[in-house]
Amino acid sequence: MKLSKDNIKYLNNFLDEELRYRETYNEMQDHILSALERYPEGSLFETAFYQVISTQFGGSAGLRAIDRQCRKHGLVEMRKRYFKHILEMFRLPSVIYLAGVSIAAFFLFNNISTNAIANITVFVIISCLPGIINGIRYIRTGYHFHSTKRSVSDDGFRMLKYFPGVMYALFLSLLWLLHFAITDILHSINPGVATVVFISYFLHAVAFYKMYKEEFKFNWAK
Amino acid sequence: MYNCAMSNNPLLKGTLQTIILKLLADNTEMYGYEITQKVKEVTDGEIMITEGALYPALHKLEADGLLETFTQVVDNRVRKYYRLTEQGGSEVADKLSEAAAYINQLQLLLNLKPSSK
Repeated sequence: MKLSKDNIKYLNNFLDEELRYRETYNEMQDHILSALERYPEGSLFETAFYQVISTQFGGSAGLRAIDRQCRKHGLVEMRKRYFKHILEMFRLPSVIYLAGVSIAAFFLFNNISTNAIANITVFVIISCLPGIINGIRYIRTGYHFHSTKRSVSDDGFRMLKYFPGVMYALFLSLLWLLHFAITDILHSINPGVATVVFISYFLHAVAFYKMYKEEFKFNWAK
Repeated sequence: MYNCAMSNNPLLKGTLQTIILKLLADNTEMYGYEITQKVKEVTDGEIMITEGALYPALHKLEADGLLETFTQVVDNRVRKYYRLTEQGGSEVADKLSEAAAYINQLQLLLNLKPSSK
């Protein structure tokens, strides 16, 4: 069956309503169009359309289930890549650079450890880096807010972007709950502890950047 | 003719990943609709993979690193192709021998295999 522009528009609107993610939308659109094109000429579009949706996908509920599964598996895959990039930093030759950064950070914190503002600034810069990278990622994808359908990768990057901030907030909340004076702790923070926290944030930023590069290298973002 | 949909047959559901891996080993790269049609064609329409079962299985295999994907624009729409990764390629033989052993045991248990005595 040859599909008209109106038929395709009808399908696109339907999928837009039912599906949340770009990956599922594109894949289901291609699948349903391929199935409809196999119908004999003269078939009624509406009949064929609802037949495909109900028999092959189990209706709207089935489509939404595929969307949820796609998100679940997509996030698992992203999490695996994230930890793979972090582990890579502990292998040669990356571990040599990491040791260099750790030593430099330790000397830096040893000298400025009494300056709480300097400590906070370094952590804020490192934790903001993924946010900046994510912004560049949106621009490179050609993302239009309110009109571009979100992707599973968008969700994954957003969750990763907030991860250091959430950890930092939890850490400060814990201190507050334990009745510690936060400013006193930041003023007297041990350079060793500051280095460990800084390196954790640094590893996160590097893994995030590598995932961003990978996404465009393999054209996953589009 | 016995017609069986993948979504409601637990026996077939358990072998869906093996079927997908074998098809991709034989056909290099395939897209979702193509996989469903291939299964239908090979089994003369006796086994039909429902999309509700196929796509989660494909996405799981991709997340497990057994499949990789790439997209192509075909007739003004994005088509997502699946192919085996190196890890996926080596997994096919294991999955096939697992399935063969299982079928063998099942035949013995259900007395479907003629006795060799």
